[in-house]
Amino acid sequence: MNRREVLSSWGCGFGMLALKAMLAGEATAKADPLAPKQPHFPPRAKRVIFLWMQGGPSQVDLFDYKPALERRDGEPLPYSMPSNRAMPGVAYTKLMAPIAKFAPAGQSGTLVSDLLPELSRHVDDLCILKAMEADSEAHAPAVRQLHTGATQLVRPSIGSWVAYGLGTENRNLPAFVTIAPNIAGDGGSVQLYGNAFLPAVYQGTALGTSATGAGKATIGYLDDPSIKPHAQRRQLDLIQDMNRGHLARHGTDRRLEGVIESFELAFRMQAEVPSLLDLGSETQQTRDLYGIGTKPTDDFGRQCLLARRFAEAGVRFIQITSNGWDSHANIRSAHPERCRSVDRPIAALIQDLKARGLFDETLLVWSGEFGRTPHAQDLKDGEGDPETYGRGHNPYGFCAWLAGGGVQGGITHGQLDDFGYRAVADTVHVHDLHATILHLLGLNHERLTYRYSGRNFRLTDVYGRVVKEILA
Amino acid sequence: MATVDNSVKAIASCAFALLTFTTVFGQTQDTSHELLDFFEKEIRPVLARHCYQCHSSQAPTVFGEFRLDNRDGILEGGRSGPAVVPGDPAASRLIQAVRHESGQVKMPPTGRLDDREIESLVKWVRLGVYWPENPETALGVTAADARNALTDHWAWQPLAQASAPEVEDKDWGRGEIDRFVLAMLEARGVSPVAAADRYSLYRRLALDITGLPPAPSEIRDFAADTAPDALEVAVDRLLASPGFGERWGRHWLDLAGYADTLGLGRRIPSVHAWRYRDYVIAAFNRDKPYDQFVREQVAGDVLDFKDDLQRREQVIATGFLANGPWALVDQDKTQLQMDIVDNQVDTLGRAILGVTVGCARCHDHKFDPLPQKEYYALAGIFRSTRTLSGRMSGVFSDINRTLLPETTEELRDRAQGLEEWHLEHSEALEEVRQAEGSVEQFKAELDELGENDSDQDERKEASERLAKARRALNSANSEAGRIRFYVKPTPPMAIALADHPEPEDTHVRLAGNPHSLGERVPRGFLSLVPLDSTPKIANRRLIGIGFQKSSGRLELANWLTDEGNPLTARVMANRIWHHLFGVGLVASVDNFGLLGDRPTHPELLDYLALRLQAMDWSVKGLIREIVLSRTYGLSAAHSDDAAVGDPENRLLWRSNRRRLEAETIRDAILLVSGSLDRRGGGPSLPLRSRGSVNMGQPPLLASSLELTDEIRFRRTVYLPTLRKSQLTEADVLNLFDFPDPNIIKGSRDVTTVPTQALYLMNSPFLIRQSKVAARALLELPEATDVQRIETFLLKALGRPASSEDIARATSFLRDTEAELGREQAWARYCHAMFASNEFLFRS
Repeated sequence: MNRREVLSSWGCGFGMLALKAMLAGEATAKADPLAPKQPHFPPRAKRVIFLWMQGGPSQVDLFDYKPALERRDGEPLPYSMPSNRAMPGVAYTKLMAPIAKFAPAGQSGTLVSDLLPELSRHVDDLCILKAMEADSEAHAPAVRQLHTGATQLVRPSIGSWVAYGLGTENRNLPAFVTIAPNIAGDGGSVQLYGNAFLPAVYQGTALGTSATGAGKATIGYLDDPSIKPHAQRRQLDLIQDMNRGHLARHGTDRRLEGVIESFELAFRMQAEVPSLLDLGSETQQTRDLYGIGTKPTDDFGRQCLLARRFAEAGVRFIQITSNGWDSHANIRSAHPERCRSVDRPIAALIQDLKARGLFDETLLVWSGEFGRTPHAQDLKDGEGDPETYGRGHNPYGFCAWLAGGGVQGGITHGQLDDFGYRAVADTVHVHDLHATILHLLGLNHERLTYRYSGRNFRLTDVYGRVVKEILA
Repeated sequence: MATVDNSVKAIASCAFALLTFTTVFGQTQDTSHELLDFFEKEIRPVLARHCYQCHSSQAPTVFGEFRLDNRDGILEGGRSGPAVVPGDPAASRLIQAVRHESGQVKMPPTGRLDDREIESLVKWVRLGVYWPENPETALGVTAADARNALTDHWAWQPLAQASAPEVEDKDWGRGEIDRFVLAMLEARGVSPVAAADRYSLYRRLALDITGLPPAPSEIRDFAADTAPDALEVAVDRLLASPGFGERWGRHWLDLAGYADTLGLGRRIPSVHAWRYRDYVIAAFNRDKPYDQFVREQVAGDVLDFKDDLQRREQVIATGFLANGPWALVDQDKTQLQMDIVDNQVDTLGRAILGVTVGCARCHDHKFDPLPQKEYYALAGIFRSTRTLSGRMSGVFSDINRTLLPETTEELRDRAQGLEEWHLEHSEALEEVRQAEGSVEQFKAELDELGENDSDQDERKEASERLAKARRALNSANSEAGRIRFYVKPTPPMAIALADHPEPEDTHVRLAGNPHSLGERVPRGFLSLVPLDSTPKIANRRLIGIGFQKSSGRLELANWLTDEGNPLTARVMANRIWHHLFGVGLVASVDNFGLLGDRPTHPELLDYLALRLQAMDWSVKGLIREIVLSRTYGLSAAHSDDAAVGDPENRLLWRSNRRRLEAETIRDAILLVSGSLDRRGGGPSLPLRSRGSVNMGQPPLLASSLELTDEIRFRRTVYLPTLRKSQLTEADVLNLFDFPDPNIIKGSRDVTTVPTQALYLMNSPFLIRQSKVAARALLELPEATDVQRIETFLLKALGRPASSEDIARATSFLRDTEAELGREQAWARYCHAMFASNEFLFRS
């Protein structure tokens, strides 16, 4: 188009400003990539706390009671397994009854395992997705899929997409925080909170790692112990003085101004974040509620309490991790131990969010990267003591749950087969879970796109269906 | 939408908005980008999907003589008259038709569009029926037909020889490049700023060419040298420095996705990867012709060679596509193999051709003339290439390694090394033997006790002894494993490609699903590249005295580097420009397709591409020509007048100020503090040091991997690059946009986040290096403090200190010294300098 054509086609009076208003979102994003953005439609939740159960919790021992499995304990498999699951030295030949008892809980009477006594008191707040599906039976790809949607390729994590889509409510804090993430183990990776091709401002800020534990979780380089704050302020003044002189010599430059601002923000973070991380400022009663200071619950209790504090402070996406659900052997002792470490903290988180009026605007998501097989896994190739049995990986059917903003409590959705192996009805694929999470945040998963390598990418690629049935 | 509509109405009468809107390009860059984005995201796909079967140049019969594939066609309409009234959706027949309004034609006949699609079309008409520039380009739908329609896209055209245009100001330019640039500036009425001062220019040259701030002595020489060829001398000196290959090699490694670990998930050491990195650095330093560089990386293992040394180099070069983010644990090996092929095809397409070939994995390319069949023609070549080795079932696959020929000298060294190894590690190996002995002994003792039905305590003691001995054996074994595996001198290997013994054409995979086979397509190339004749893939090649089947990579390499292939030269010339100016002439450096950016200076781009070819593909030659131009030497000053017309500086009226890359920040700090170790080359992973690796199947790098003193202070390009986050010791990489090695991207992000500021203020690296720098300053004999400030400023910023600099520093030093003492005060001063914008930016 030449100039005249441009003018005439725009002649009805629409200018650049009007255009910017119409193409809302991206224009403002350019000025400040983390400024709060309008969602596509009114959201039901303002933020997400994502509780990742690393390794794959067993659905048939926690949330899905299967009488047939109990009845046919020790019998040969009534279903066939994919051929590539055969592994030398490992027997997968017998069904294994649930390792725990189930009882109805809450007004809804939902069956929950007695391994989760505290959480079962909140079952009327949970929406249990009973027929989850994922695409890979190996940790690394499955973990990647749960966090980024893709099994193989390097894609932005869901928290980064949310930060990109919504910005942050508190400019003194990152939009996306991950507490004590697993970055070393099988499937653990910085990619789980990575921005991939999205701009780096959307990457998750990690507080420590699972190796250092939640007790030591902090933002990197938050202080320089060798200098007192006022002396550091003087040094910062020198930096800023040099920066302003430099800027003045060169006229205007948004990027130079951005750096100057970022130093001020960093200095404020130095002051604010330590107090946010200081659980000592909570009452003893609250710390007890979360099980902080008591052996099995201390680490995850801290993560949950930190999550609540970040939620309160306006962080969009908070990821916390419970490691060690990968019970290939000794599931009878390993799973109860895992349950003890998360049961009380999660119940406390729900109760605490409610008490502070945050529950209805916060979405809790609990999931492993897959579930476990209803049949036993015997690492001694059929010779082992049944007490040492575990369960294998199972992406064909497992359970997850949602709670809080926008989801119906006290319901279950979906169905596994009689043994708890495969999803058979109202299946929710990981892509669907992602679409639903975005939906609850007011984002249309098909419209939240980013142009990279010549095309528009989505969290859900070409998949994903919002699970409308569970929306409140 | 309601609120948006209101805001539009509110602004509609603002006349000034129109003025801001029309600028140099008719539209500001921002606005046209958004329009284009909106059009490509929401309009073109709808038109293509629902309308083009009947209403485009590709339709067998153009229904109603109405075409929707160009703006004129839409405005003129067909037999029934104009289809749209720009700005007035309600009065537009197109909108009435898609809304299925009563009494109107209802389109498309196959069923109503969904509401969102209709809403987008309404918005599009209301905004004036935007169509991307070059209105003649009628875009096709089905890729087979699209090829004809898309042939006039600029990027697929042969390189065009254009002489630089006439300019009014004949004295301004130094050569052809400047004339191309100035002509455009003059045509748009934008005046360039003045030339940079000699200090800024020299710092810019040093940083751009070597990635290091300039040495004070060279700065002084250059500033004082008034000879007419002073600039040329300086540029040649910089180009000849080893720093050149280290910087420009790193640019290339971004495209290669280079890393020292294998696989996406675990940290499996990629022991031999460094050879490829060193190959790349050496190639740039020796100015290996770019076409040869490409040929070697694609097909080095099957190229002719005159001696072992050449063969070795060529085999190593294939690390370009052999070392990638492979998900080695994936149990679906077909998926794994096709993912690898996809990554290779996509890397090749984007890095060398600037075509997003990967888009055609699942379907015909939506925008470029690239049918899915052609994707699988290329994929067949890589499906016939071996990237993996070892188990192709179960969990772990391994990567292909090729044994390299050794020189006599290396053989001798290795023999000697082996001897030393035996001597040095005899103890550790002996430890294993002893531990094995203990285990056996204690086991026998325990068995004996069992038979004799002895007392419980004794049994318990014995079994504890055995357990302890087993633990000792495990640890000794692990250490011995490391010594055998990583410390023992071994013949040199490379992670390399090899032809598959049974090469074959592959099938189209429906929707990209590796298990869903479509028709088999002959191996071949992309038809969008305008070559008169494409090479035929020979199924057999003569090797030595016999025939061998071949994958077709050799022909691929020749096809890529054929002088008639305009993309290879254009893309590289543009990359060079991008690294020197911060923005390419084509801003989307990896995508020259229809959705990529158009060149701001198309004739200049072709001029540069032809020059690259004419100088026998000399990268140094082209860099030299560009940096000697007046355009490159402009200052980074702001100009209100120019900024109004061209706020993004696409016309090049000034130099772009850019933040240094993560590596440059680290290297510059080390250089200025005096800590930089200029040695380079050789293995990066500290596998020879204890505790660096956990032996197992497969072995994994220790999570607390620490650099050895041997490489700790080397340039960043020589540090290990991990596929997960980078080493804590080099955290600057994690914070300052060092690319994810699993993603190919020729243009790095530059983000500003507060965690960077925290790093600059508080990281042990900066604190320590600032102390080192301060100590060196304080040790300067017989210097006054003012001289110390001047010395440091020249080193760090490459310019003499101003009175303002001295006053500022003196005042800070006085206050801080009173409180923290002299050494601390100077360290804090140096630290502040390292954290300052002037240090961290190149203007």
